[in-house]
Amino acid sequence: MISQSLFAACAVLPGWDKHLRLDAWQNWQTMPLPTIRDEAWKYTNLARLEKTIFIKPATTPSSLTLNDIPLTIPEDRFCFINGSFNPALSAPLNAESYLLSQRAWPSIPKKQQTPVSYFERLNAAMLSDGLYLDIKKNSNNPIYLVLLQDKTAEFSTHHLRHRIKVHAGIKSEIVIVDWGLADTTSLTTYVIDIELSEGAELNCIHLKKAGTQGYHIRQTHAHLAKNSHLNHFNFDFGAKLSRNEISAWLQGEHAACQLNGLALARAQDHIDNQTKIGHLAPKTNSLEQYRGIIDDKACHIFHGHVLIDAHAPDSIANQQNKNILLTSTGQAYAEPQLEIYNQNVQCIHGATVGDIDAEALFYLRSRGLSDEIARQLLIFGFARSILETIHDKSLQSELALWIKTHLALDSELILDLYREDDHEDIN
Amino acid sequence: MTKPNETLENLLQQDYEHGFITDIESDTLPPGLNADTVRAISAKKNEPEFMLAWRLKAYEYWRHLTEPHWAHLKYGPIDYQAISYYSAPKVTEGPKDLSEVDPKLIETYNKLGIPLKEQEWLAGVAVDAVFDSISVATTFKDKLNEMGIIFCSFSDAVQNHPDLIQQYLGSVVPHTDNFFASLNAAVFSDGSFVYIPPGVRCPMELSTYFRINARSTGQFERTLIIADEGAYVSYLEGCTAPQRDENQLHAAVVELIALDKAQIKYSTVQNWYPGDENGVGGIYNFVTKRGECRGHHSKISWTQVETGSAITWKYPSVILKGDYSVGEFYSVALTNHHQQADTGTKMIHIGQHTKSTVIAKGISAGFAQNTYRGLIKVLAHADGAHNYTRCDSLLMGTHCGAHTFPHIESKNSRARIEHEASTSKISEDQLFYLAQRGIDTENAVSMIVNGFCKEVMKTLPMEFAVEARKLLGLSLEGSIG
Amino acid sequence: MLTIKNLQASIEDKAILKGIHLSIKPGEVHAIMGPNGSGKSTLANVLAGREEYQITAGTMHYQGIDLSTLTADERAHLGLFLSFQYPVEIPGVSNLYLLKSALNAKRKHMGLEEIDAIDFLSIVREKMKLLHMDDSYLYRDVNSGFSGGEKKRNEILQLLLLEPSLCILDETDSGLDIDALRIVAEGINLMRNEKRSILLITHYQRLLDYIKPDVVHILSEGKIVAEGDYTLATQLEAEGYEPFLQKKTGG
Repeated sequence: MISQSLFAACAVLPGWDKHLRLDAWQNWQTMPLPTIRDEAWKYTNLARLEKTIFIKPATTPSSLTLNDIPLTIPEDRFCFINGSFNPALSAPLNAESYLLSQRAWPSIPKKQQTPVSYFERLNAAMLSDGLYLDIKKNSNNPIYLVLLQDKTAEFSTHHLRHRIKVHAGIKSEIVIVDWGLADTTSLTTYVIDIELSEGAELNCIHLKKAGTQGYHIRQTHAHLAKNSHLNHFNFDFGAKLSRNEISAWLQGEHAACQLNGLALARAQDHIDNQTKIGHLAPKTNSLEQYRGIIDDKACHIFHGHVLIDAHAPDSIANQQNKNILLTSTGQAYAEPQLEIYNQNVQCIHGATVGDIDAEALFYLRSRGLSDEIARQLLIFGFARSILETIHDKSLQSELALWIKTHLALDSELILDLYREDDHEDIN
Repeated sequence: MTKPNETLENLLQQDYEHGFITDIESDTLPPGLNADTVRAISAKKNEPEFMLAWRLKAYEYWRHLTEPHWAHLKYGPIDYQAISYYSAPKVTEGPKDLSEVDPKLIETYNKLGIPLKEQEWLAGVAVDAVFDSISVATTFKDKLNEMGIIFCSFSDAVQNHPDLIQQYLGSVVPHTDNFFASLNAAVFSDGSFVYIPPGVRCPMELSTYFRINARSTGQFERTLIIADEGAYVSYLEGCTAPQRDENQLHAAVVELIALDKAQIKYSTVQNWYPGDENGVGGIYNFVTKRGECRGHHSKISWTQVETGSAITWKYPSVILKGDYSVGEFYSVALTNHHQQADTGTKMIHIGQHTKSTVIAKGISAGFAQNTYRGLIKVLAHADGAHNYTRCDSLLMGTHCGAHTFPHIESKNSRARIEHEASTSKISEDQLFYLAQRGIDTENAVSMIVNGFCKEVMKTLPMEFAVEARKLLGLSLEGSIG
Repeated sequence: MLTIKNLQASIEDKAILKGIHLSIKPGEVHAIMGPNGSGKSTLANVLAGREEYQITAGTMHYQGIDLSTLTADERAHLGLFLSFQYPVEIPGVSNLYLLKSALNAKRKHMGLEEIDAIDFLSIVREKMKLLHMDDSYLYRDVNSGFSGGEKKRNEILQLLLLEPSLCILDETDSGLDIDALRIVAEGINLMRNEKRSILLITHYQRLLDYIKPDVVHILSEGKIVAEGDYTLATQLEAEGYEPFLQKKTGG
C-alpha cells in the first residue's frame, strides 16, 4: 500500500514532531490491516486498498480555483489542494490559526500523540498538513475548511488533521468540504479533533464528495465540557470507500450533541458510518439521526453506539437510522446499539431498512401524481428531513441541489419544492 | 423514598428455591475429553456406526476451535478436560412404569413440583424427564403412538428410528456450527426426539423437564423435533437445578424442522441455579437453538423465559427458507445479582414473503448485565420479506447494565425491516400510584414487571405461563435502586 | 357513474370481497355500512387502485371505463377520489407542495395550464376557510404530526380542491369530534350536485345524519347482504348488524 520510500518522501512539517512521526510509522508497519474478521470492519473490506500501490505524497498546489466546485465558498476559508495548504485561495492566517507546515500547535491532545487505530497511525506518520483553529470570538460567518483533489492526485495519498477548539461561551460554525474533482485513485486520511469548552457551541457541517475511485477515511473526535453543544452534520455523497468514524464524548453536565448524517450511495459507492456517543456525565443529551439512500450496487453501513455510563444519570439519548434500499443489488447494514449502565435514563433507538413506503406512494398516486414523480418526491423528502436540520438556509438549498443532481432527480420538481419554502418565508 | 428500596433489597436476597442435591449413585466417566471418551459414550449408548462417525467428526473439528468471546460476558476460563462427559443413573434397563423408577428420583420431581403422576394426563402433559443425561421415564408414549407421533428420548430414537436420525440430525445445526455446538455433537448424552407425521396435530403439549444433578458433570442434551407436512406441535422445556458452588457447563443443541405448512411452537422456562448474591457458582449456559422453516407456509415460534444461570449465551434462531414461512421469537431475560445474559435471535430470510417478529424484554437488576443481540438478515431473493423487532429493557438499580446490539443486513429492496428499542425503569410515580391504591412495593414491582413482559408471557402455553409468572415474581422482586 | 359487477378481490391469497354488485348514478349518495372486517376498506382501496389487492373476478366501470386497466394516478386524473381512513404521514414533503402537484397533475390531464403559485394560494386559502383550517397546515409535512381529526380535515381539503366526480369517503367520521364532524360534513355537502356521486363508507350512522344517502348497502363477509333507503341505516342503528347477518345465512 505505502512504501518506506513514500514515507521518506513526505514533506517535513515544522509543527509536527519528527519522533512522533517516526514512532507512528513504525507502529503502523507492525500493525496488521483490519480485516472483515474485525467486528468494526466486518462490512468493509480493505483488501483492495491493500493491493493498491500509492506512489505520490501530497503534491504541490496546482492551479485550481474555487470556481471548479459548484458550491459557494465564502471568504472565511482555508484551502488545501491535493493535501497541501494553498495560501492564495485562503484567508490570511492569524494569531488564532496555526498551520503545521508553519508552526507547532499550542497543544496536541494525548490521544493524537499516541494513535491507536490503523488509520490514525498512518495519518500521524504521513501527515501532509493540518490546521489548529483556536476560536475565542463569536462569529456570524462560518469558517470553511476545504480539501480539493484534482486529476494530478492519481495514486497519491493525503493526510490531514485539524483541531478545533471553541473557548468557553463562544458560538461558532465550521463547514468542512472534501471535494474530488476527478475520479482519481487516491487515499485520504483525515483526523479532526474538536474540543468544546464550557458553554461553547459549534455547528460542524461536513460535506464529502470524493471521486468514485477515492478511499477516504475520516476520524472525528469531539470532547464536550459542561453545558457545551455540538451539532454535527455529515453529508456523504459517496466514494469507492468512504468511512466516517465519529465519536462524541459528553464529559460535562448538560453537554449535548446532535449527530446527523445523510449517505447517498449509488453506483459502486461504499459508505461506512461509524458513530459513538459516550454519555459520561449527568444530564447529558444526545440526538442522532442517520439516513441512507442506496441505489445501484452501492452499500451503506450505519453502526451507531450509544454508551451511557453509570455516572451519567438523567441522560437522554435518541438514535434513529433509516435506510431506503432502491435496488436488490445494493446492500444496507444497520447496527444501532445501546450500552446502558444507569437506570435513570431515557433511551430509544430505531432502525429501518426498506423500499420507498408503499402506503405513501399509493397515497401520492391516488392524488394524481405519476409513479416516477411520486417516487422522486418521496426519496427527496426522505433526504430533506435530514437536510432541514441544518439551520443555514442558503447552504440548505445549495445542498438540495447537490442531492438532486446526485440522485438524478427531476430538477424542476425539487426546485419547486424549495420555491414553496421561500414562499413560506415571505408569508 | 428510601424505605421501599430497602424492602426490595431484602427481597432480592431470597434463597434459590430449588437448591438441593439428590444423592444417587452415578455411572460416571472420569473427567477429560479425547477421541476415546467419544467412543466410550457412543459404546455405552450402543449406538450404530453412523452416530460414532458423526461424533468423531465433530470432535475432530472441535479440537481445532477456540472458545468464542465476542459476547458481552465475563467469566473465568473453562477447563474442558476437568469435565466428566458422561453420567447416567444406575438403571440398567428402562423402567416400564413409574413404580420401576428410583423412588429418590420421584422424590426429587415431587420437590420440584413436576407432576409425573396421574394428574399429568389430566393436565394434558406428557413428560420425558431427563435426569442428568439419560432419560429414565417417558409417559404417554402409547397414546401418542396411536397417532403416529414419536416422542421419546434421543437414545431411543437412535435405536428405533435410525433412518429419521440419520436424515435430520445436524441438518439445521451442523457439527461445525460453533464451538459449543461442535462439543455437543461430539459428546451429547441424551435428549428428546419428536416426530409428528403429516397432517397430525399433536393433541397435548409435549414437555421435558431437564435437571442438572451430579457434580462436575456438564450437560449436553440434544433435541430434534420434526414436524412433517401440515403437522403441529407445541413443545415445552423447563428446568431447575440444585444449589452448588462450582460452575457447571451446559451446552445443549436444539434443532427444529418444519416442512410444508407445519408449525412448531417451542417454549422454554429456564431457571437454573444463577449463583449466589456474590456471583459464586451458577450454571454456564451455552445453547444453540435453531429452527428451519424448510417448507412453504411453515412456522416456527420460540418463546423463552430466562431467569436462571450465571451465564446465558443463547440465540434461538429461525432460517426462513420456505416461501411465506414465519419465524417468531418472544423472550424475557431476567438477570439479577451478578448474572450475565447475552441472548437474542437470528432471523435469516431466504424465501419470498417470509415474515419474522422479534419481541425481547430484558430486565436487569443488582450487578447484572443483560444484552440483547440479534441478527436480521435478508438475502437478495427474499422479495416481500418483513421483519419487526422490538427490544425493551428495564433497569433496576444503579449497578446493572442493559444493552441492545441489533444487526440488520438487507440485500433486497422489496424487504422491510423495522427495529425499535427503548429503555426504562420502574418510576417512583408508578410505585406511588400503586401504593396509593394499597399495593405494597413488592407486589407493585411484580405487577409492573409482569406488565412489562406481558406481550411475551401471553405467548406461553397456559400450563407454563403460571410457572413463569411465579418465577418472575420471585426473581424480580425488589431491585429498585 | 360507477358500475360494479360480481367484484371479487383478495390479498395474499385471502379472499376479502366475494362478489359485490353496486351501481351509482351521477348525483347519488350511497352509503356502505358493515361490521369490522366485512371488506369496506378493501372495496375503497380496490376502487382507488391499490396494487396489493388482486381482483380475482368481476368488473368495475367508472364513467364507462374499465377501472382495472388504470393505475391509481390515472384514476385520480379521471376524478376518482378516495379519502383515506388512515391518511399516511409523509415527512419531508410539504402539504402545500402535495396539493399543488395534485391539482396541476389533474389540470395537465384536462389539458389546462398549470396554475401559478399566487392563484393557487388564493384558491386553497378559500377552501381552507370553509374547513376552519389555518395557513400553518400548508407548510407542515403531509399529515406529519397531525391529529386524527386534522388528518381527516386535510383529506376533505384535498377533496374540495380537486373537485372529483366520484368521492369515496372511507370512515371519514372516525376520529372526529362532533364539531369537526359537522364542519367536515358541511364541506362534503357543499360538493353535492347532480353530477357528482359520493360513496360513504362508515361503521356508524352518525355521519349519515349530516349527509343523507339515497341508498344504503350493508356489507358482510365480502358481500352486500341488504340494500335500502336511509331508513335502513336507522333500522341498523336500532337493531345492530345481527338481524342482517342472519338474513344472509337464512337466504
